[in-house]
Amino acid sequence: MALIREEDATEIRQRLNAMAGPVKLIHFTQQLNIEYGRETRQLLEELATLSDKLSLEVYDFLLDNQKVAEYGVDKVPATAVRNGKDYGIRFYGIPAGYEFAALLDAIIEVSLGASELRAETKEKLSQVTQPVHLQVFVTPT
Amino acid sequence: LATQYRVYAVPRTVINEREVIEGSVPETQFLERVLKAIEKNDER
Repeated sequence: MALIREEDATEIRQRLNAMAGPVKLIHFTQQLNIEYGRETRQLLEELATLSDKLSLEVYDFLLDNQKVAEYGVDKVPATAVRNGKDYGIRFYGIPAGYEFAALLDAIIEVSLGASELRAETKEKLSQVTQPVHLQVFVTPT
Repeated sequence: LATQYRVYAVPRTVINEREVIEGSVPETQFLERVLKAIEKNDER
């Protein structure tokens, strides 16, 4: 059974029309001992069909060590949203509910290569020279 | 993970494993907190 209903798919297709460049979802999962692993993968597979600018790569957290290290993934399910550049955006857990909207926002911003931050904010952030780690804890409800 | 970072309400944002922003705050405040966290990092 599809996780994304047809009427939602139509809406999502429309939103993804705002995409400019291609975006890749890099997904890490494993077979056993994982919460919402199958559902997350299925959700992303369905999502990736809704725009020809969107593609999905799936890796095994336990087997694909090189990719796991490359993306700095330490838990699954994990999903990186990137284009030619990796902006460091990671979603951990299933991006359902409100987080699905956040995922769509991330996809569109990455696709545009631009954020919606104010010019002053960008100006100040451009002076940051060291990596900053932001973890946002959320619920899907 | 929620226990490790003492998450009792969401959203909770943890900057560099130390600084915490509780709830949703305006962009300027968020920026200030991020910059402050970086300063503290530099002091270490």
